[in-house]
Amino acid sequence: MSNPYPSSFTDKIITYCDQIGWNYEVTSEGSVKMLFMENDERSQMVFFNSQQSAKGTEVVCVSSPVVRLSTIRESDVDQKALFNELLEHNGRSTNYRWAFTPLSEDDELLIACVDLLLETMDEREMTAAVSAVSSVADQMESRFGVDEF
Amino acid sequence: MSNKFHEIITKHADALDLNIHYDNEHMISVMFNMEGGRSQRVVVMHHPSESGNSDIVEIASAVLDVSSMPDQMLGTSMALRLLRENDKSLCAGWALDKVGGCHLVAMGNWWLDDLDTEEFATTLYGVAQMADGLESQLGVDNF
Repeated sequence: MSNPYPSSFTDKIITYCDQIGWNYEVTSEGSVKMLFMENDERSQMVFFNSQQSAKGTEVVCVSSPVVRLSTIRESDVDQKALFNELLEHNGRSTNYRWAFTPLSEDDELLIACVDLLLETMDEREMTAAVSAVSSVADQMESRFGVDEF
Repeated sequence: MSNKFHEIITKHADALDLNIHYDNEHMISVMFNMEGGRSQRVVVMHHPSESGNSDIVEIASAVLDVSSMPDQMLGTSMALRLLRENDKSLCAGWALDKVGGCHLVAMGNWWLDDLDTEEFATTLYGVAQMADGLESQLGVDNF
């Protein structure tokens, strides 16, 4: 598969995806998305986005979306308990964190994410990151009874 | 008290010219002098794996003791704010650590065997800045 947006970021991501056998779509020089198939036949979107650290280091942000904040607010979920629970998960987790990312001007998205340094990221680290975020995102989706992503 | 964890962290600390303190077999700490005479302690903890080849290094800095708050929980808006910040904080994030109490911490994790100096530095300095920045906003310097 040819790379429509070649860059050091996309080249490295798709090299590993090709080696592993994952299907992907390069959407810009700094973003790649893929559909990760879970063991239970469910699928989960996973995004790779490039960001720069304060010191200029290129960071690979691996994330998987779960549910819109508006959906949470419209549900009968206790938001205080949920947000604290997510922060507690972050404290126990060794390989991902929960975050809210902007989706549009008036909505946000709950994501599971992990960051890796582009220069030092190897295939094992990228595989583990994708597996971690897609797995916990899928489990959280099930809890909300949604499978939007 | 020397072990693989100590050896790897010492190597990276030496490369960064850091003074580290060996708290125990599985914990090392670093004290940073921040702006305005403030200080920030960062702890580097070793979580051994059964196999010995997927040990985790947790790098964390505490901000707030949440134990005395109602239900040991942050308020809705504060918790949401921190989860939003987790989208922008690279190689680190906000978490509630319930080991030995309940503390709001900035933290990040790496695999010990794969840890590079740049990875160590990114999270070490990142959590120190996150924690000190929030302590400063809250008007405290507890940790």
